[in-house]
Amino acid sequence: MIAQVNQLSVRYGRRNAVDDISFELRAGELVLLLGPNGAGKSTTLSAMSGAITPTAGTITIAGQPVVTDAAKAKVGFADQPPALYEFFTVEEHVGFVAQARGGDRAEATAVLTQLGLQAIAARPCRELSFGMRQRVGLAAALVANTSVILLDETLNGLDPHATRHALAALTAATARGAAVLMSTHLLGSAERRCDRVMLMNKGKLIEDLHGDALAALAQRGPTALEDLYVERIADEGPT
Amino acid sequence: MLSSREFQRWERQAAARTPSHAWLWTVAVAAALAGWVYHGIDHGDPTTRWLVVAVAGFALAFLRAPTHFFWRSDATLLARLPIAGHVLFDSGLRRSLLDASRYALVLIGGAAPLLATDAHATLPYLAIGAALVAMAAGAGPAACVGAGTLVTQDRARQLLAGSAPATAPTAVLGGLPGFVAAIAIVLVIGCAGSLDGGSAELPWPLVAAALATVGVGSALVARQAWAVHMPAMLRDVTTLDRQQLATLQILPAAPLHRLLAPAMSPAAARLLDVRSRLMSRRYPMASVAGALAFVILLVLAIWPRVDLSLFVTTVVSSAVYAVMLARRLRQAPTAVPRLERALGITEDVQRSAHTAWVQTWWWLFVGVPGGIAAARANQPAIAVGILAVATLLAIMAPRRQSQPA
Repeated sequence: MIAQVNQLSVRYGRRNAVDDISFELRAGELVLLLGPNGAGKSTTLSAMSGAITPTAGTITIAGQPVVTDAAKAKVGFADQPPALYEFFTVEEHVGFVAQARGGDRAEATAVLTQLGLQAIAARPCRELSFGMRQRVGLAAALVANTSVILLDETLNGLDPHATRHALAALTAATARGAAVLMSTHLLGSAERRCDRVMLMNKGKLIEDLHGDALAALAQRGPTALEDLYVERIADEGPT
Repeated sequence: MLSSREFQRWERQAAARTPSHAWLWTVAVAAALAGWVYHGIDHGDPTTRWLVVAVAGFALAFLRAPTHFFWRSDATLLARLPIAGHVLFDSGLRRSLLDASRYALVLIGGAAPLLATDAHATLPYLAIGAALVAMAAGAGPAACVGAGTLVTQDRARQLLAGSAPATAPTAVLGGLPGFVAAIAIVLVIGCAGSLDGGSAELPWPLVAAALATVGVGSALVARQAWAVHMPAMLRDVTTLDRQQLATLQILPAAPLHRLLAPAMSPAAARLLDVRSRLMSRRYPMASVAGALAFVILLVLAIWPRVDLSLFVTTVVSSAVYAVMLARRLRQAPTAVPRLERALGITEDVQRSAHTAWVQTWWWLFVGVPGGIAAARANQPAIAVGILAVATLLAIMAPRRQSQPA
């Protein structure tokens, strides 16, 4: 496995944002992370990126603790909203991230081309629309051949062309052996391409479907995943 | 991985694009100080004027250091990139050195009339000024990294593992730099009498040498001993920010904000409450500096002085500080804009909440006691005029801050 999360808990004050969850990501997997607002998806992704310190538990990337430089260089995280250097151009921002991961600035150009962003490569990040920022965040997560790609609602707000570019890039990343863990509320294109679905609620991992179980679910019809979501998670409003 | 030189090249590139008039403001402040000191040669005590501004400027330069180290606006991005601790430390140190050099320019420019009048008598003042510059450049970063290391190595671990309230560890982040700055200021006040050749608790050469040595030495020690903790520091402070922000949402409004709430929209009142808690946690010096201004103005109201210099310095530096605080209100942690977007908080709501926060700070600490002090001054028209201009500058500051795209 390429990433391992073991008994992860993150507490915000008195509230457990993530409560003792464990899972692994295997090379080449595209995993959907679903759950209502406040389920703990973003906190899980942030902890896996090394951006925040867990209250308890361990996270390893390719066998290394996530806080080590070796592990950080392998993880790409597109957070929400993407943390961008506002006064850099798109190419500079992605180039900076590439260089920080030990890659080459030239890799930025390749990723931007892959995502169909060449036209805005010279534009300052501060001038970008919401959707464009999401795409630049994705480019920064992919650059320098990261092997664990974490996306926090990155596909939300993308137009159909951009979604297609993004999914193609993610498919290419999984083809080279990267694992993708993507939180989203938009089922559809991503659902059709994913290898696994994890469902979170109130900080707990309540469902982990893959292989035959996921295939069986898919055979139940185009809304099967949405039906499962509604069935497993009560409509309680934000938690 | 990135070297210090490469990282700083990226930073310089970003800085070159960022609209900033810092150097222009520096020259303007230096010129204003020079004019005021020159005016003091015939109408008051020019060296006291210079020294008061030197101390106020030192506090501002010193207390900007946390924003160069652990309260950087790009902390969430840097925390998850594989960037070595000494690279992050060097970046923060370089930013602090830039601040210190602007501060030095103000001091030198302001001292020009003194040098032209009596260069020999001015040298002790310049020596103390140089020592304060060294403290701002070196001890500021060292105090920040020391505080961050304390949080990272000890108290944050306890907090993250337990159920203690989320306020205690981060108090160290602002408190330790504030404490070090306060010691330096007390030492300068202690030796002020000896700068003119008179008697004082402390001789100025000793204070200048001690401050300069601590300034340079502490930066070297901090880089050697604590810089390695910088990545963990950024991560832990980011985590604590999130914890604090999560807690902010469930706390009831403070009494002062409950009073102001009826005059504002519900969204602006809520945002004001969140911002106030955030500011009091991240910038405790805002309250400390405000309280200091309040006490000085209260003293001036009770015992009006012939010379307006202390009144002018207090009011003008408070206005400059209020402008800085208005900028700081805009530089919230990443999670806050996200939350605000989720709650549908618009630019108008933000402006309204920020204006309310700055106005509250201003009237509470400066406006009201300043008004009484101005009315009782021996040149009330001038004092009231200065207070009015400063008030306008302070309360308009949040409206002039543009929202980042």
